[in-house]
Amino acid sequence: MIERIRHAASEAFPGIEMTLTVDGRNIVTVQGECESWNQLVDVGHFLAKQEGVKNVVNEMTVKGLVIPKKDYSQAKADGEAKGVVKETDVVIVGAGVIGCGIARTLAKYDMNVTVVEMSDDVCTGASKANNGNIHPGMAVKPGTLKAKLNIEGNRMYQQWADELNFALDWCGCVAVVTDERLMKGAEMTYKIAVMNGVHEPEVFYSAERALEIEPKLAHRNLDIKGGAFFPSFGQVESYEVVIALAENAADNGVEFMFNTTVADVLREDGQVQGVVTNKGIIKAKHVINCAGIYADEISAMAGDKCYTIHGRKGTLAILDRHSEPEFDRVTMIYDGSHLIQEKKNAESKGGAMCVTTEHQSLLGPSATEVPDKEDNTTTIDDLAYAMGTNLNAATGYKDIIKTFCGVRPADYSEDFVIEMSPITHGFINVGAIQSPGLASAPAIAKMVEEIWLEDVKAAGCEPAVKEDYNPYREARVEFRHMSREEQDQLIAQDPRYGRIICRCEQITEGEILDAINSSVVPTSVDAIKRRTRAGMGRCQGGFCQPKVLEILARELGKEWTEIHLKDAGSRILFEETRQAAKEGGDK
Amino acid sequence: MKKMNFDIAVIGGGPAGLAAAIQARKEGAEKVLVIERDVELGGILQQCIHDGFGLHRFGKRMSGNEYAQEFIDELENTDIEVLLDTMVLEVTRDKVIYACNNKDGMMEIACKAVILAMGCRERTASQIQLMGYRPAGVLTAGSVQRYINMEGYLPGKKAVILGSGDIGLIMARRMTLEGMEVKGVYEVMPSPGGLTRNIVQCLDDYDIPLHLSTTVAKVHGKKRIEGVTVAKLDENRQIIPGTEEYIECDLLVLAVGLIPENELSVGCGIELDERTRGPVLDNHFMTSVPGIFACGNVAVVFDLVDYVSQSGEIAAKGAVAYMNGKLTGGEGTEYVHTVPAGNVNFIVPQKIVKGEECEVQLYMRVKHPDKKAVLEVSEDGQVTQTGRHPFVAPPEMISCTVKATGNADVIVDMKEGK
Amino acid sequence: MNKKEFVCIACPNSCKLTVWEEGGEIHVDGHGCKRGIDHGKNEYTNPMRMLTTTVAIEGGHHRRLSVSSTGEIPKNMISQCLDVLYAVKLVAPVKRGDVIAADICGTGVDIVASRTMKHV
Repeated sequence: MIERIRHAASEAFPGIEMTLTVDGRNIVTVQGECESWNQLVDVGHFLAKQEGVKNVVNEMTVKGLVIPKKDYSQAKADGEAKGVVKETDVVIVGAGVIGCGIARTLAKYDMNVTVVEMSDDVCTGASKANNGNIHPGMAVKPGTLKAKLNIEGNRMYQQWADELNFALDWCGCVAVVTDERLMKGAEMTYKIAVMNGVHEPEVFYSAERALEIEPKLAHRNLDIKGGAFFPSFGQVESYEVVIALAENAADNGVEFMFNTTVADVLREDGQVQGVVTNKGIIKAKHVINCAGIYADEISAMAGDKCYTIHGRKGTLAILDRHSEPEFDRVTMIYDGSHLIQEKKNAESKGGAMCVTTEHQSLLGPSATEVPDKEDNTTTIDDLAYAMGTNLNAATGYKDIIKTFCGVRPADYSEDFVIEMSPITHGFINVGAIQSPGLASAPAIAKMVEEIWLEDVKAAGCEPAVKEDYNPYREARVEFRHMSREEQDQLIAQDPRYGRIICRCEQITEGEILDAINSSVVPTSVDAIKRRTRAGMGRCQGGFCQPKVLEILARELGKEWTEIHLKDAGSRILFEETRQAAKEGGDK
Repeated sequence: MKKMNFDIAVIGGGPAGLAAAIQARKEGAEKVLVIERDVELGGILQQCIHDGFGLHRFGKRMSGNEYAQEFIDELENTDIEVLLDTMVLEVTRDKVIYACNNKDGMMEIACKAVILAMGCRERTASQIQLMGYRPAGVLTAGSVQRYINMEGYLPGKKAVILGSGDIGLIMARRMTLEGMEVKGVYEVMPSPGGLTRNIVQCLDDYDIPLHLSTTVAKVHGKKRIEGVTVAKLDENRQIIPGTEEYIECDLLVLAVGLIPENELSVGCGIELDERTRGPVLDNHFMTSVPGIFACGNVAVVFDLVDYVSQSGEIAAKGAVAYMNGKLTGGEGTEYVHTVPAGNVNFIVPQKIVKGEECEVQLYMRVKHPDKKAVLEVSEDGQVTQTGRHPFVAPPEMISCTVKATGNADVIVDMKEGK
Repeated sequence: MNKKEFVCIACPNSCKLTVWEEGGEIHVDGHGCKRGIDHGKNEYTNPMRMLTTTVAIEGGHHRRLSVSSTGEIPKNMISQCLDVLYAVKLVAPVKRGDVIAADICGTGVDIVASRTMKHV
C-alpha cells in the first residue's frame, strides 16, 4: 500500500520530497517540505483520499514559514509542581458544544465528571464563531461517520431544545433554480439526502410549490423551474446551546475548571491515568478529548498520533435587525450566473444567508486554510466572500453590525474521529469535529456515551444513574420577548428587571444577574454577552460595556481593572487615572 | 401598569432634550416630562470635560459639563418632571410611550406631543470593516472618554487613534494629559475631520502626528491589542501596497463617525433621510408622524452644541403649536422642499409646510472644503438671498435663516469659490 | 534668530504663521489679517491655554469631578497645575463654580468645578 501511495504522491506533487510511513491502522504519516501552506494542505487531503488510508498525520513544513506551535512546557512544569489536585472519573478536555454535550450526557451517571477548558468560559472556540445551522444532512458524503451522526443529531435536537430551553427554529432550507439545466443539481442533492436518510427531503418542479414553501420568493418575480426543499434545516444560536448544556451538566454535578490547559496526558501500561494541567495533575479513569483545534496535540500527548488538525477559518457577518431578512427560510437561488464560488472550499459548507433565532441576517462563513490554528483574523477577501452569500440587494456592508471569524478544526480525512484510542486505553478521541459538528453534537454525545459504557461494562461495572438527575434546564428570563404587561409584572416581582443595561438589545440588569448567579459563572464581558446578548447589538457595547463591567466587578467582588473582555490577558482597563501618589509628570 | 398623561414628553435629557423641555414649558405646555436613560441629566455632555462649548449661545467658552449645568439648573427651577435611569422601549404613532425603570415598573405615558432627543451613537469597529483580530483594547472614542473622565480608569498606555474628527483630537490631548502616550492620529480622508483649532491645541501642542489618507489595515493581538498595521490609501481609498507599517500600541481608539440613534423613530414608522440618517423634518422639526418632533443629534449630527439646543427650542415651539391645534402634519399636509445644490450635501429641515410663509432655520453641511464660496437661496428661479462664506468644510455645519414663501421649493446652492 | 511656525487659529483660514525675534522686536509673517499678528506674537512669547481635567471625588454618582480653569494659564505650566489637581480629593456635594484650587500655581487663575455633583 505504501508503495502505491508513494508513487501517486510523487506524480501528483513532483519535486516535493516526501517521507511516507504507514502504521498498522493505515494511518499515513508524511514529512517533507512544501512550497506553500495550501500545498501542504493539498498533500494531506490527497494522501487521505488514497484507497485504504484511514487518516493522515501531516508533519510537513513550508519553506520560509514558521508554523506556530503551542508551547505546553510552562503549563506542564506548573502542573507537575503542584502535583495531584484532583481525582475524578472522567476528564473532558474542552468546553465547546462537543465537550459540554458529552458532559451533560455523562452527568446522569453516578460519578465525577470534570471538564477542563483552557479559556475563561464555555464556547470560546469553534463553537462560538459558528453560524448555528442544524444541517439536515444532505451535504455530507454518504457512508461517512459524519453523515450518520449528522442525521441522527438533527433528529435529536428538538429533545435537547425542549429539555434545555434554547431557541430552535426549524426554518427549513430551500434551493430554487431558474434554469432547467440546474435541476440536475437539485436532484442530486435530493438523492444524497435520501441516501443519507434526511428527514422528509423534497424535490419539486414548479414555481407554485416553491412559493408555497417560501412565499416571500414572490416579490423576486423569478422564473422558477423547480428546486429542492429540506424542512429539517434548523437554526440555533450555538453559544446558547453550549451554555445550556454546560449549565445543565453543572446542575447535575459536573465540575468545570476554566483557564486550565492540558499539557500532558498521563498513562501507564497503555492505560490512561489522567492529565497534567497548569492547575495541577488530575487523575482520571477516562479522558475524553474534545479539544477542537488542539485535539490532535492532546491525542499526541496520549501517544496516539492519528490525525492532524489544520485550521480552516471562516468569516461571518451579522446584519442589523432593521435589515429585515428577505426570506424566512434559508433560501438559495441558482440562476447559473452566480456560480462564482471559486473561493468555496470543497470540504466545508460554503455558507449561506441565514436568519438567526433573533431574526437577524447572518452571512457566511468563508473558508480559508491557515497555518496558525489561532488565526481567527478577518480579512477583506474573506468578508467579501461572506457578504457574497447575501442575496438581498437592499442590504450590504452598511448594515453589518459585527464581523467575526472562527477556525474549523478539520483533519485530512474530513470526517469525525471518534474512538477509544487503541494505543492508550481509556483515552477517547472526539476530534476533527467541524461542520456539521453542531448538528451532530447530540449524536456524538450519545456515541461517546456508548463507547464509555461499553468500556466500563467490559471492566465489570454497571454504572448507576443518579436518582436526582434532572435533564431540564429552566428557561431564562428574556425581557425583550415579553409583552408590556408581563414586563410590568416581572419588574414588580424583581425591580432589577426594570433597569435596562443594554439599550440596543433591551437586556436588563436582572438578566445579567441571572447569568452571574447561574451554575457556570461568567466572569468576562464577552461571557455575559453570550449569555444575555448585552453588547451584541448595533452599538457593540459602546454604551453598556462600562455598566456590565461595573456589575461584574460588584457581583464577583473584583476591581474594575480585574475584569477581562474575554480570557486571561484581555483586561479592559489598566489602572486608575493619574493620582498624585503615582509618578506622573507631563512632558 | 402605571399610566400617565403629559402635554409633552421629551425623550432624552441631553442638550437637545433639556432645551426642548424648558422651551416647551415657556411656550405654555403645562405638563412636561423628560425621560432620561442615564442616572443624571446632561447626556453625553457630562463626559465632555473639555472647553469650547457655548460660544454662540453664551458668548464664552465653557466645558461640556458647564454648558449642561446651565440647562440643568434652569430646568430644576421649573415644574418639569424628570424620570432618570428610565429607558423608553417604544413610542407609538398615537404618541404613547412605553418606558420602564426599577421604581415605577412599566409605564404607559400618553402625550399630546412627543419630542425625540435621543442623540447619537458611535460607529464601531465592524461598521468600518476593521480587519484582523478582535482583542480587548479596541474602543470607541466616546467609551474611552467615559472610562477616563467619569469612571477614572485608563484603558491603555500607548494609543493609536483612528479618525481625526473632533472627538478623536480631543481624546488625543486628554489621554496625553493623563500620562498616556498617543502614537498618532490616522485619518482615512485626505483632509482632517476636525477643526483646525483642535488640531493645533490637541495635537500640535503635544507633538502628536496626524497622518492623512492613512488607515488601520489590521489589528494585531489575540487577547489584548499589541499593535496595528497602518497603510496609506490612494484616491479611491484603496490601500497602496508597500506602505504598510506596524505600530505597537495597547489601545486603538476609534473616532470614526456618529450615527443618529433612531431605533425608536423607526419603531413607529417615522420616515428617515438616508443622508442625515435622521427623520425627515418639516420647518417645525415635526417628523412624518404627526405630533412627533425630533431635535439634536437624533435629527442630524450637529457640530456645535449651540445648534443642538437651538433645534430643541424649534421642536418645542412646534410641539406646543401642535398641541394647541395650530399644526396638523401627516398625510393631509402638503409640503415644499429644501433642495441642496452645488456643494451642499444635505439640509435639515428637509421640507416646509406648503403655504406657510416663514423664516426657517436651516442647518447644512457641504460636500468638500472650499474658500470664498457663495450661498445662493432661490425659489422658483428667483434668488431670494445670498451669503458669502470665506471658508466652508464638511466638519463645520452651516446654519442660516432663510425666508420662504412656502409656495415653492427652496433651492440652496453653495456655489464654488472662484 | 529663532524662527517658529504656528497654524493660526484666530479664524478657520488656518494661515501658516512664521514668527521670529529680531532686534528686540517680534516679527510675524504668513498672516492673512491683523488678528494673525497678535496670535503669532502671543504664541511666540507666552502661549496660553485653558485647562480642563478631572479630580477625585467620593459620594457622588461618579468617581471623577470635571474641573476647569477660569481663564487661560501659561501653556508651560499645565503640567505643574495638573500635579496639584491630581492631589485633590473631594467629597460630594459640589456645586458648579466651587473653587477647587485658588490661584493655582500662582497663575492668578482659579480652578473651579465645571459641574454640580450631588451627594448620593
